[in-house]
Amino acid sequence: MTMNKKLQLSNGMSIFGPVRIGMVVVLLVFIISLQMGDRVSAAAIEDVEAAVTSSITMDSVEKSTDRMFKKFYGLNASDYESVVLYAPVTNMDAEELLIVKLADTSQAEAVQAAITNRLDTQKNTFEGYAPEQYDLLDNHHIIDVRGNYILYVVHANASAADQAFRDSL
Amino acid sequence: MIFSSVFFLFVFFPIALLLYFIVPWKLKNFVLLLISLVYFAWGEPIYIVLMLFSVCFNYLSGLELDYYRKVKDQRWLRICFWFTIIVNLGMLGFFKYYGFLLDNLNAILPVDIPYKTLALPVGISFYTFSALSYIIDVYKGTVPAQRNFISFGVYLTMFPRLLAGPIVRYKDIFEQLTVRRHTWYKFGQGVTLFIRGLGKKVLLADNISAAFNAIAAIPGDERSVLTAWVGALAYTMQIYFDFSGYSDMAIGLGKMFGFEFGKNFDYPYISKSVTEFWRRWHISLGSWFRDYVYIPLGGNRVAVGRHVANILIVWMLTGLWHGSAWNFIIWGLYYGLLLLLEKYFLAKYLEKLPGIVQKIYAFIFAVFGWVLFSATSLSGAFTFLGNMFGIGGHGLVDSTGLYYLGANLILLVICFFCSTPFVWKHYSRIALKKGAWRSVAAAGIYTAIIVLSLAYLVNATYSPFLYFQF
Repeated sequence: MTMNKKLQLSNGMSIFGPVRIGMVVVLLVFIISLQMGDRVSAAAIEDVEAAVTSSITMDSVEKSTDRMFKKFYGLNASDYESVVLYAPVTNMDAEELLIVKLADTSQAEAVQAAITNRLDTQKNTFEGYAPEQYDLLDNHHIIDVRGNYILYVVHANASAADQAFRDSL
Repeated sequence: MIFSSVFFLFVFFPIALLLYFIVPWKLKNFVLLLISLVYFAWGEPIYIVLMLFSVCFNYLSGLELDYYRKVKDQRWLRICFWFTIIVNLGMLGFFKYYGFLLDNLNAILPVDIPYKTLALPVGISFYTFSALSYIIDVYKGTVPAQRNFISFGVYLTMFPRLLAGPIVRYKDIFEQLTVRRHTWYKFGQGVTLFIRGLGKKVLLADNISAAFNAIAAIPGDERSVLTAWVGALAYTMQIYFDFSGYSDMAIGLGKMFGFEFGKNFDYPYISKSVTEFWRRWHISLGSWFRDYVYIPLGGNRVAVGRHVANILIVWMLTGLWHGSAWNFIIWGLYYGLLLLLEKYFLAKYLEKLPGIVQKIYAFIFAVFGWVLFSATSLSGAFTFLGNMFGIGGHGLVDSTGLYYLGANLILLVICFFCSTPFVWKHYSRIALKKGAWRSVAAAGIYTAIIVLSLAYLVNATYSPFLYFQF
């Protein structure tokens, strides 16, 4: 019985009790840390599109098709929940806006890689003969992955577009 | 790392076996625990935290429950018990059902709660259920608390059954944690069982899965009755060989390490009723729910109304255990209703029918069940079921259906015979009698299974077990 007494706190609880409660606290901290970071947003892509397009001038881009999305990025729009692409009106422009709502956050990596590819291709195209456009591509592009949403924008005012994008999620 | 992968078969497993057998008896459990943790961490480097938590937390819980028992403090005993149950179920519930719950809340509430989808920790349903059985049994005093941390760790993490069961219960195995015999005979049994499981998975399940995947991808209005049935039968065979193959491999590996786990499958497709089907399918899960949910709820020793409720609760939970989606819940309730129907109404008529009719009845209802189970959405499940009866589909027979039937008929027939005792009975008649040539023949058959499986494995893409997602 003396052995047992040693294992007891004043309220009758065993000394294992507080140890176990401590472990649960550690578990909760672990779970919260897993939950930090980007969350999945249920916002409709139309709302995100409206917020972003009203934050910047859209003179040199026009709404494009899924076929162009395939051509520029090599991805099938049907694999994602929805895709909105604004492509340059002429070949002499570099401005571009892409919003992808992923079907699953695991797709983020592939989309990001495709965007980087597209950016490199565009840079190669404009390098050496259209310094303004090249500067736009080089210094005014943003790729923002937020949970199930991805934004890619090339625009003189890219950061305003990104801010509007974040606020709309 | 799955059992049917070249890396497991040729690197991990030989090293594990070698380490286990060269160390003295006293260190064997320790080595097994280390091997199991490495095995788990291989695929789940982050979620090993959950596994370690579960081991440490439940180990201490056992000791604490045992202490309150000894000092006869009923109040703290109950508090400690429910706290432990809530923490275990809370962890399982969070990782498995949190996204599902928020999805449904977001659908009915005017607000949107943003959340981050987390990957399901592999094996969590299995090891949590093993932990719960231990806690409940210690609480009830059925088994003594495990004082040796290593032994308890081995119980919960043992790598053969870590990812997809069988859900070994502590009371069935605790003696083996301290004393177990290693014999060449048992080792040999384990090896042959493992090879049979490998063959089931790689040669049968993985091959027939192509038919189902292709048919499931056809739009509902282009599926004829024939196509739908070929698809449903293919999945019925795939899930059996996939899961029972895994169980055979797990039980076989267990034997090689000296453990005896109970049977998890007993030719479910020869059952004569749905009730019997569930006594033969995933036996360790069924008996878990029976012992730890159904019987504590009162089982069948209650008024009819209460009994109906008990059955439906147990089967809804069984469905939910398989995944956080409505089709699993409907699938569970489907079986609950069938079992009730059999018990209160059909059983007396069924018994009068010829055996073969009873078997066809049970088999067809299992097939319907798998259609519910396999679907990714409820509407998809009902479209597929409708197609099987010609609703919203593409006629009775079309060229697509004939193509899939022709391409898979032989495999389906082989699967069918292998899912009954027929093949094993004939094999044992030839191989399991005295005579040197018989042993040679048996060795030849097993070698053929290994060589064929490896040929498939080397070429195949990664194909995890279906039951890993539960």
